[in-house]
Order: sequence, then structure tokens, then C-alpha cells
Amino acid sequence: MSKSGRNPVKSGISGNNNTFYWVIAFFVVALIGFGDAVYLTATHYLGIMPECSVIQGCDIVAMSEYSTIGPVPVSLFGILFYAFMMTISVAWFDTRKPVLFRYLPFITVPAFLFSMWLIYVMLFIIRALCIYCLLSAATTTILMLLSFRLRLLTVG
Amino acid sequence: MKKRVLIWGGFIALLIIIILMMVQMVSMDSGIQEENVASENLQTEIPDILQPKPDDRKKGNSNASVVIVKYSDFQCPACRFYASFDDHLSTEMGEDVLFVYRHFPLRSFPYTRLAAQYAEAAGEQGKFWEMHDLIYINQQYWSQGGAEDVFRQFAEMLELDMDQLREDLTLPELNERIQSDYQSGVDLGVNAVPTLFINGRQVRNPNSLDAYRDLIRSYLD
Repeated sequence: MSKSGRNPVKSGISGNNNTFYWVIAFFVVALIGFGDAVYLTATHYLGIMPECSVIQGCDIVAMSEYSTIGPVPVSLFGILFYAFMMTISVAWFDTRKPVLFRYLPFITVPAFLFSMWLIYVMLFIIRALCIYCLLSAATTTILMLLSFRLRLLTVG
Repeated sequence: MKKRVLIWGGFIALLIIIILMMVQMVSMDSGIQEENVASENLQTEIPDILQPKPDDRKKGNSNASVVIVKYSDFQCPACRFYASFDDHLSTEMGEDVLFVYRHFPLRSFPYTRLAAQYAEAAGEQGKFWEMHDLIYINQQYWSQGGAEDVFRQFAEMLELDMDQLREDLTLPELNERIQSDYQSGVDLGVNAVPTLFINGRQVRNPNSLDAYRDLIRSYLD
């Protein structure tokens, strides 16, 4: 047993039962973002245009020059980001250390800003929208909001 | 300790499952695109709809053993890449390959149909490819607005007869040709641009010039 305690209900210092559910939410949102980013990266490396039924333009956005940074697809950065966010959540489930969430906004805010830039590119430069990219922007935004909530709950 | 293994083991297993699921989904999406490599099917007949028509816009050797029919849109950024690929490869392999350009103007782009009309009108004066190249190279410029003025400037640069051009732009046949290209694409199930058919078969879009060259070579061997 660590000092901070493993039981979410009894632990008052590093998070209570309430925190537990917030972390679950954080994890689930990151998981959705992760699946989305893996899908986009897979289409990139397998040379397939992403299919899109709701909003037109996935193929256009995903094949545009803005979809990669050098040879690396943007969605691969997404995978790393979401995987890291999930790892933080799992580390919290494991250790219950509040410090894990202390610096989270330092990652989620730049990620959010980057997402906003990509939305700008889609709307005003490429002029096509890609549903998978919008989903990713949504998950990044929610993760940012949740990261502030978690920081508040655990660090205070 | 046991709990820790369970948490982290479960997490890693979950990630692997998600990755496998998504890759599986993508390969299912690709469907027809799977049969990408020229194989024993080389000898199969090319369906009529993919045979080069007399009024198709073509570049390369008409008797070439490899015929690439491309459905493309002037305002789509991906199409711009493939236009430059085609430009490179037609210089390199023009003796062995026939490149056919067919219009597939997407509704989501405001100027794409206008671009197609100008290209076709330039084609009436024998300068389709010159106009095609100018339109694609400057895509980012005219996509911002004022496209028609830019296209007119291109026509002047190409020393087209401007009166003739204006007249040709009003020809119903011009729109009919674009529409018939579009319709043939729809009939073939084209739902993204650019879509490439090599010797009658839809192929997965190669994602680099080298990959495109290798793909064409696989049909030449």
C-alpha cells in the first residue's frame, strides 16, 4: 500500500470517489481520440482515403499537405498524445498520486491550440471538413477541460 | 502487485485491441482497392466505360499498353499532387503510358466547375493540358477568390483567342462533356478524388511519386 492509499473511496488526500469518475471520463475520452487517430494514421500508411459519410472532404483533408509534418502524419502525433493521456490516467489508477495531474494542462492546452489551428486550416485554407479530424478536435477540447477539473480535484 | 499487473496489462491489451480493430476497419474500407498490384488479371478486358474515348483529354502514347484513367477535380488539393505526378511521369514514361483525364467536379468546391469549363474551353483551342497545368499549379491562389479573373489571365498567357474562348464557354456541349465525365465516374462508383483506374481496374492511390512510378512499372513488366 502506498501512503496515498489505493482505495478511491477512503482516500481523501489524493482524490475521492468523485475524482475516480472524472479520471474514468478522462480515460474514455482519450480512448475515443486514440481510436480515431489510429484510424487516420492507418489510412495514411495503407494509402487509403478515409471513408466519410456525414461530411464531405475526408479524402481532401487527409491528403492535403497540412496532414503531415515532414514525413510524419499529424494523426501520429495524435496517437502519441492520446496514448500519453491514457497512460497518465492508468498511472493514477495504479498509484493515486495527485502529482500526475498537476502539469496536465501544460500538455492539453498546447494540444488544444494545435487542434484549433487545424480547424482553421480546414475551414479557411483547405475549405473541406473531415469528420475524423473534427472528432479529434472535440476530444482534445474535452480532455483540456477535464485536465483542469482533475488538477483542481487532486492538486487543489 | 497483482492489481498493478492487472491494471497495466489490461491497458496495454486494450490499446492493442483498438489498434487491431482500426487497422481491420481500414482494410475493410479499402474493399476493391485491395487488388492493387498488377497480376495475372492483366489480360482481362477493359470495360467500355474505361476505354479512352475520342473526346477524352489524353496525354501520352495512344497505343500504350498501360492506360490510366483519372477522375479528378481542379480544386481538390490531393488532385494537385497527382496532377504533378502525372506531369512528371508523362514526361518520363509517355511512350508506354496513356494518361486520360476525366472531370469529377465535387460540389463542395465553389470554383471547380468553372476551372473545368476553362480547361475544356482552352482544349477547344488545343491547349487543354497547358490550362490544366496552370490551374493546378496556381490552385491555392485562385481558390481564395476571383477565380474567373485568374483563369482569364491564364488564357491570355496561353495566347488563346479570347473571343473564341468566351464563345466556347457558353457552348452546351462543353458542360455536357464535363457532366458525362462526372456521370461515368458515378457509374463506376467513384466517391473520392482523385480516383485512378489502371487498365480498367481501380487502384489504391499511390502516396508518393516513387510509389506511383513503381505501380505503373508493375503493369509494364
